[in-house]
Amino acid sequence: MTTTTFAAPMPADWRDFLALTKPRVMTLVVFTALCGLLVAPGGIDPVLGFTAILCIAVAAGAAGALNQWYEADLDAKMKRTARRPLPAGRVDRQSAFHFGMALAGFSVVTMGLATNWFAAGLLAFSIFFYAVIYTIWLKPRTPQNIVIGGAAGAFPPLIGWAAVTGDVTLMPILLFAIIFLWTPPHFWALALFVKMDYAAAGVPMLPVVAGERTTRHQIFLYSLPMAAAAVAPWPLALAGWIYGAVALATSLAFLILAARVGFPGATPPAKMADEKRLFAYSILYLFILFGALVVDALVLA
Amino acid sequence: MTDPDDEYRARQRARSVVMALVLGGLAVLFFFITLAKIGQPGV
Repeated sequence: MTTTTFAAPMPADWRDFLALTKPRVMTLVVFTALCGLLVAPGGIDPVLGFTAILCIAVAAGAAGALNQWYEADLDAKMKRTARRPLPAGRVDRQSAFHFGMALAGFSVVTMGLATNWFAAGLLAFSIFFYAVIYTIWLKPRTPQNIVIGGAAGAFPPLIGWAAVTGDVTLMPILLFAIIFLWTPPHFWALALFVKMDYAAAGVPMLPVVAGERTTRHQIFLYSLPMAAAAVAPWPLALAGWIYGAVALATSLAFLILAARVGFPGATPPAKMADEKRLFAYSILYLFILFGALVVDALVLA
Repeated sequence: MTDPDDEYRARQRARSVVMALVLGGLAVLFFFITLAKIGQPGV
């Protein structure tokens, strides 16, 4: 018997599975988790610390894969996401689901064995929060979906901290709050100058549902508590003057940029220069802020 | 034109190699986790 064609479908390329984990999103996850781990009191064995960061990164990959498993139909309708492995047909849905669940299981169990089961529990909850509470439940239902998604992205420093100490105190909660409140201005600034076709996919994104004016105001409104949360560790004596000075200066700059985007004045901004500036600065801001926290902890320790 | 059978086997092979590397890496990681745990006071 000669076989000219295979009855079984072509196996997916391994790179397509890697793409399911959204590797680019992982940079910020790894960085903020590492900062949370480094500023936590007590310190951790380097091997166990490395394992904790690895588990947090893999868990983020699991959440990304489960998100794409659920949103395959939706991704197919948007130009930006139509070429992802699932809508493009390079990976079948069941494989993506099994892959995501396997990553989730391995990351949580390894975290528990290497550090502590409180951190592992938080890690499991963060995957559940992103995949179920955000992706399945709230994203298709509320224009504040980015706020909920921001909470999911705010877990890494909290889990990094918990991996060291086994508990969660005010400081990691503040770190959580900073990223949580940072996400809406960060994402909505992008949404203002990149016309995303969320309307076509039926996702109620704020600029689509409430209009540009409301989105601008919300950007400014969220940056106020964000700046407060960013500066708070200093007066609360949870961080030293190095962090305090950096947080004060960079948060003030964030507020000024957010105010320019929030209240553009009578002349409508044609080229969206302020919006692009705020978006680019928001990424830099988070890296500087968390970097300063680590420097502060290491220098003033 | 490439034979679809060749492409099929090439992908299978690549996936097997990646899987072997991941599992091998996991084994090495668990070895070092064990060493770190043994070295900890009170364990």
